[in-house]
Amino acid sequence: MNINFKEKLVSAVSTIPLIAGVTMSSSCGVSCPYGLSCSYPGECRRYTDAGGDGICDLGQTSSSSTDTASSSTYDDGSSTSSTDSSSYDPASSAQDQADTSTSLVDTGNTNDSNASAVTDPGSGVDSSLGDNPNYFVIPVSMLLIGLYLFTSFLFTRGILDQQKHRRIWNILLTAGMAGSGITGILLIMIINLSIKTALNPSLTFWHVELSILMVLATVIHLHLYRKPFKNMFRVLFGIKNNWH
Amino acid sequence: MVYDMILPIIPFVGGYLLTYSLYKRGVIRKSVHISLWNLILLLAFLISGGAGFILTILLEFGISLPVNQPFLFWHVELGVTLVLVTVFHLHTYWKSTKTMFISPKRRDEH
Repeated sequence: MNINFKEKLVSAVSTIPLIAGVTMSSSCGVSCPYGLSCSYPGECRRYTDAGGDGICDLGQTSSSSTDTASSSTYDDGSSTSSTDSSSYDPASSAQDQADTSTSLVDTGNTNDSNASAVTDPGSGVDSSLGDNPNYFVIPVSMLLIGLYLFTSFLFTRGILDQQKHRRIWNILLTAGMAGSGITGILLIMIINLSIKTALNPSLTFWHVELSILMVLATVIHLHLYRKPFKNMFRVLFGIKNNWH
Repeated sequence: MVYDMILPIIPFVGGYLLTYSLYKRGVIRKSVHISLWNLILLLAFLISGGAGFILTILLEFGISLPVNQPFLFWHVELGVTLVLVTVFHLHTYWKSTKTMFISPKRRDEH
C-alpha cells in the first residue's frame, strides 16, 4: 500500500519536467527572451521576419503584446497594433522608456536603450534587468527539481548507483558554478570599465539562468552530502549530531 | 558604482594560506581546516545567493525598493568571494573532483 502510494507520488512528480518544459517553450516561443526589437541578423539565432519589415517578429510580438497595456508610451498614443509598432520613433521611444522605467510592462526597448542602461556609470546597477526580465525562474527550478526526483527515483530503484548519482549532480553544480562565476566576473569587468557591448543583456540573462542552476544544485549537493554537512557543525562548534 | 575586487579576494586568499599552513604544521586538524572553509563557503553562498534570489524575484514582479542597490552590491562582492572559496573547495576535495571528470575505466588504466 505504502509502496504503491510512493510509486504514484514519484510518477506524478516525474511529470514536473514535462510541465516545466511545455511552460518554458511556450514562453520562449511567443516573445524575444531579451525583450529586444532587433534588425537582421539580431542578437540571438532566433531571428524570424515573416512580416518582411526588417525587424524580428519575436521582439515585435513582445512589444505589441505589452504595449496594449501601456499605449501611453507612444508619442501618438493612437495605435497598439503590431503593424504600427514598426513605425514608431525609436529615439522617442527610448526616451519614453527612460521616463517610465518603473513600469511593469516596459518591454519595447531598443538596442540603444539596453546598451546605455547596462553601462550606466552613475549607479553601476544593471538596469537592463528592469526591462521585462524573462528569466524563467519557476520553470527552470521545476525542471531541476523534477530531474533530481527522477535521478533519486533511479537511485532508489538501483538503476543508478550512489557514485553515479552524486557525479551527475556534481557535474551540474560545477557547470552552474563555472558558468555563473565566469559571466558574473565578466559583468563586473563590463560595469567597472563602462564597456558598451550588445552582449550585455545576453550575459545578464545567462548569468541569472546559470545561477538558478547553481543555487538549486548547491541545495541538492547539501542534501546528497548531508552527513559531512552535519559533521561540519560538530567539528567547529562541538554540536552533537542528534538529527536523524 | 565600481565594484571592489581586492576586498573580497585578498583577505580570503591570506586566510586560506594561513589555515592551510597551520594544518600542514599540525597546529590544527585537517577536519577543522576543511570545516572552517566549508562554513565560509556556506555563508558566502547564503548571502550572495540569497541576495541574488531576492533581486530576481523583485525584478520578476517589477518591484523597485531602496534596498535593491545594497543587495546588488553585496551580491556582487560576496559572489566574488563565493567563486574564490569554491576554487578552495575544489582544491580541498581534489581527489573527488578528479573522479568527477575521469571515468572509472580510465582511472583503472592509470
